[in-house]
Amino acid sequence: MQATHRFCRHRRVLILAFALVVFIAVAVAGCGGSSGGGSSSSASPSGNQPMFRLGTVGNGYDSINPFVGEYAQDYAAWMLMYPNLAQYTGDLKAEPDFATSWTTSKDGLTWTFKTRAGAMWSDGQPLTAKDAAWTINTVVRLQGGAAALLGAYVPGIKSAAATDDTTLVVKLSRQSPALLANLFQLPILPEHFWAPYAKGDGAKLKTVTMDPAKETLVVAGPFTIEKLDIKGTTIFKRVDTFYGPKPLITGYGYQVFTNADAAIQALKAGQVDCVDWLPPTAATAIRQDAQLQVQGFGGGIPETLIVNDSTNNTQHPELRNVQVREALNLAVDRTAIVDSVYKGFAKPGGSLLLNQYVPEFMSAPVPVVQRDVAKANQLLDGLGYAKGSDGIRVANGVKMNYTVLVSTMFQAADSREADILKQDFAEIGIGLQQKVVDNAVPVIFSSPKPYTNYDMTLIMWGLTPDPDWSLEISTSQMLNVYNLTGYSNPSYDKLWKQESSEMDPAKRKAIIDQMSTLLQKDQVFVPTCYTQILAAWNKQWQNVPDSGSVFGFYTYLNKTQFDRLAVQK
Amino acid sequence: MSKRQKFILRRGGSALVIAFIAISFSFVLFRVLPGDAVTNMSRVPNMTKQAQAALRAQFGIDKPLATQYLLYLEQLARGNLGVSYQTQQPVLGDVLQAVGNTMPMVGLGTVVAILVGTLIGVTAAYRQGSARDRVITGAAMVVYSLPVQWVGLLLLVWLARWLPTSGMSDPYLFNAGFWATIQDRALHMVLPSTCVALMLFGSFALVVRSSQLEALGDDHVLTARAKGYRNRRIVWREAFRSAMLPLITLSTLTLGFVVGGTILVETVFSWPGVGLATVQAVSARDYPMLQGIFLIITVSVVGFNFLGDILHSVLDPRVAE
Amino acid sequence: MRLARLLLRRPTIVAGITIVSVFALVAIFAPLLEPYSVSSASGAAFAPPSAAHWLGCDDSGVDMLSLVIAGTQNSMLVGFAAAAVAVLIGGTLGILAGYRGGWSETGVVGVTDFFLVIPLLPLMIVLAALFGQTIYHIVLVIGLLSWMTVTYVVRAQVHTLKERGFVSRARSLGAGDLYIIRRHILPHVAPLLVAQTVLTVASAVFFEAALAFIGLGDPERVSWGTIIQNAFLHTAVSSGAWWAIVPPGVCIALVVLGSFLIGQGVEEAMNPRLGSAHVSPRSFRLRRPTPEDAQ
Repeated sequence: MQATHRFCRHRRVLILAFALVVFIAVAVAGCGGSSGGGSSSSASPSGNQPMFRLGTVGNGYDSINPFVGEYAQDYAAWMLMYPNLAQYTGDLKAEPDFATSWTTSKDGLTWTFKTRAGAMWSDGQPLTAKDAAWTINTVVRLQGGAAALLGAYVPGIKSAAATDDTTLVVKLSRQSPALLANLFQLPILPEHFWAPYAKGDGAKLKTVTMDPAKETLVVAGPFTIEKLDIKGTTIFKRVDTFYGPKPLITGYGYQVFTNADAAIQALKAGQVDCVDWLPPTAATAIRQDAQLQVQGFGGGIPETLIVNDSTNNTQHPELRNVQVREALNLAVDRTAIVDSVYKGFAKPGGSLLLNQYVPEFMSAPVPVVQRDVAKANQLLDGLGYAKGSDGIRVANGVKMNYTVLVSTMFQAADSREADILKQDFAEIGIGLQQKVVDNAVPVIFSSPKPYTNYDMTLIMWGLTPDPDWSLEISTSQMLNVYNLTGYSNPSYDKLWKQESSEMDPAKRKAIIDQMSTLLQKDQVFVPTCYTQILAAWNKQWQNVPDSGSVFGFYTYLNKTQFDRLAVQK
Repeated sequence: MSKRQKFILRRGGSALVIAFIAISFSFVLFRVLPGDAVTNMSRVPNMTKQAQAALRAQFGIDKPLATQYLLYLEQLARGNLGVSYQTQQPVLGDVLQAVGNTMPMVGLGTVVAILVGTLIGVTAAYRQGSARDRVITGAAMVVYSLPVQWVGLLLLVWLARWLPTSGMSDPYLFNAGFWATIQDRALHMVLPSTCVALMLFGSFALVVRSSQLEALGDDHVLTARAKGYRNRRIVWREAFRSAMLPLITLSTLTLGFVVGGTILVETVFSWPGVGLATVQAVSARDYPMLQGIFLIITVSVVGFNFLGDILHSVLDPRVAE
Repeated sequence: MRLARLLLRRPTIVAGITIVSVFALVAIFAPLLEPYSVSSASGAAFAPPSAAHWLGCDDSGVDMLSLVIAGTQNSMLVGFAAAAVAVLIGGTLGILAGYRGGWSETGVVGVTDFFLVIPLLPLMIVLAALFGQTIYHIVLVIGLLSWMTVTYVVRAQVHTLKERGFVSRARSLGAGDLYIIRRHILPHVAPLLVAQTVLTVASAVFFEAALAFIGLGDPERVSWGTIIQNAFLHTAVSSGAWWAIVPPGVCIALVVLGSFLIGQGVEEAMNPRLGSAHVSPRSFRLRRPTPEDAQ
């Protein structure tokens, strides 16, 4: 019938056009497209273990240049690429890395470090205390400009010098008990590579791309970058000149997945060996596969509800009342949050003063607030905040109806947590709505008047091995910088000044105990829980880094975490 | 100067004005977002006031808005798009890379959508009223309305065993030959491009069908029929020619958005394109990056619209009146 | 009315109206129809469909059927209201631009171009940050950002119509602009507008789901978009809980299908010329006289 030939010729033309277009598109993508494409020149894996393919859900690196990067993952990369003076174990004890021992002078203003002999950079140049001195001096010199992001690691340091290849002398202008904890996190950079960029104001330091396709990297860690692809997969290869114990794997890849389903499917299909930062609900999916293992790591990431306690809070001044915050604290059902939101991969708690700070820095762990709805109601009744006909209390003419900011970045967990808090607070006559913003922190600090655009928000905290930072967060000098609650108490500020310069450990511990008590008394935070990082991997891999470390899997605390990672054939 | 030349000149002039206004508007728009690149340092432990001040000075966001605007225009005139706050690398490079990642994938999907949509639209119009017409057009509409992240996610989970579901290429493919690389990239593009095509083809189908139906009722088609031309020729040569105009309009509009990418598809398939870059830049308040992305998208959309207008005036000279 | 009887005679329109009406009824009576609460758990996380929970439960144990019913209300509202806004604006501007030409046209094209080049994503984030994220705001945002395509398509059609001679003929007979628009332009543009309305309903529902996807949905209300978003965030599909994500997609498909059937039926009813496409072997006949022929 004529009908069958009707569109034949045109259909053929269209199909041909289609095929041509496909070919061109693919060819274009093949030649151009991806960043850093084609630079993977070097060695196919040699060595007894293959490459470890690691994936992460969400954000990867932002920049691996030590003067530019801000994310925690960047620190993890630097820990594995550059020497540090010391590194931390899972229980936050410092152990030698590049420095083998350290002593301080009587007045505490001079520290002397003994560093390893015979160490080398990856290009064969000697790694000595001179590099450490240069790094410290450069950061100190430029901390008001190009090295601003590294400035926190050299608190109170005046200068550093290498009296010989294995001795580093650091001079301070003031004592600081947290000095070592901070200084140990500073990556030591090779002078012969970075010095030309550090001339003058050091603006050129930030222009280094860290891309092995463009320049030769000089590192001294167990790994170096082989192929840089920040938005995709960055590949690291083992460096055999590393002065410490060498990993068994020849390298690892760090792949960024933008959503958890893709990561889980890739893991199941064998395209990656291990994935971290999975949402808690993924555990069910992973457990269905007998070949895969899922585990929660760490437990030192506090999740807290921030309540606006700033003097700028004119919309809901009742939130500035300690008893109101105490009532909120009493109403939170932490068990429900741990079970329903985190599926058991968390535990109640959430104070910024971690349990791991005990006993070195604190006498006792911060007690977890037990749920007591009756007491919470009593408190609010006592304040005269009567419930209206809709069940919502009215405080001085203002309805106790609050908005909690949820960041899209953490929406999966935070949104569900806010749902539970809504139910919890309803039982004490307080209303709660969610507002999703792309990022809560800028909203809180937005000008012209910070602390005016929010009532509450949920925040997950990244902390450090020394409690000084956790304590500093709530000081007045951190207002508009990092102090999200807006808490400002001169007594607390005074205590912090004492704590941050008290060198005697016993005395310092006493002050920290005092500060902890004060924070609890003033109900500065409403802690909910300590969360873990969920990771899943293929069972054929043994000794997947756990560390039991506070900060979880793939942390930036030490260089030995990949040491015994191996595949069982 | 002919009428058409005047028409083109007028359109071209307005395109330039639009581009300039849009660029200035974007400058203000992003700065209306609460907070700036430095208040967002929520991931940096040990941040200090001094560090914040230093960073602000370095980014130049401590200057008054008007000064920043003039500086920006001045740099722009010299072809310098500035440096990204996040990576400290030139914005132009970062943006072009993101665009280079997005274009093949979205472009392929768009072209497929245009071709398939046209085929469906013409067939449906030809078969107008029959069951076939209703079914295929109905199906096109339904697919068009399904959230692309929904479709993408289901495809991802169903086909994860056979097709790659993340990224643009296999990162562990070392030292592969040219064809192996092409094959790898092609496989990675299949799912995301399919989603893009599914997302778009319905609108083309419907527009083509509508205008084709109109055209099929025209006098000259009746004349052609009376002259005894075969259906195939009537459908394509006579009717489709005049029905093509709305299709061209829609095509150029859509192609203009190829550069902007699509955040939905890129998120489902971890495709490091412009959509993803935009979202990350907004979250980080990375103004130079945002303005750079925006500039490129603007130029692309305005350019394609202008092209559409020219094509339109060529195909239908009466339009220049 | 004669038109209504004409419309109701066609099975496609009846089918379409039925589907849309069912959803509209569900939307109106949603709170009465929900078997369980949508804000608290009533089952196990990701519980599969059972007698107690016909569509199973989501990641926090909330009944899916209740969620879908609650979502119908908000999604229908957004879809149709936003489409109405968009087509109203787009149609008006398109006719204005196409018919008037000259500086009016340049102005409209300029404004349209401007709206087209504005980056939607940051704009929506900014608007949400400034004005909040209620459902009305979402309707407005979607409506205000969806009219551009309509404008362009209508404008192109009006151009073509102008050159078919009706306009100049009518003008030469002394007809006024409004009369011409009503009598000559609208009947030819109407089918395109109907098609655009259906498209815009479809894209408005799509848009709503996309907004929910990037976190800009109304967090206090359940919509099909937020259900899909939650399933996505909580790895429902990988966990095997297809019931957490499939129902809202099916609902979206059905609503759009219904609108489409209505649209197609109306299109045929309004333009009888479409029923006499000259190449259709089935319907080759001289076309019925139309108003233009009387001129």
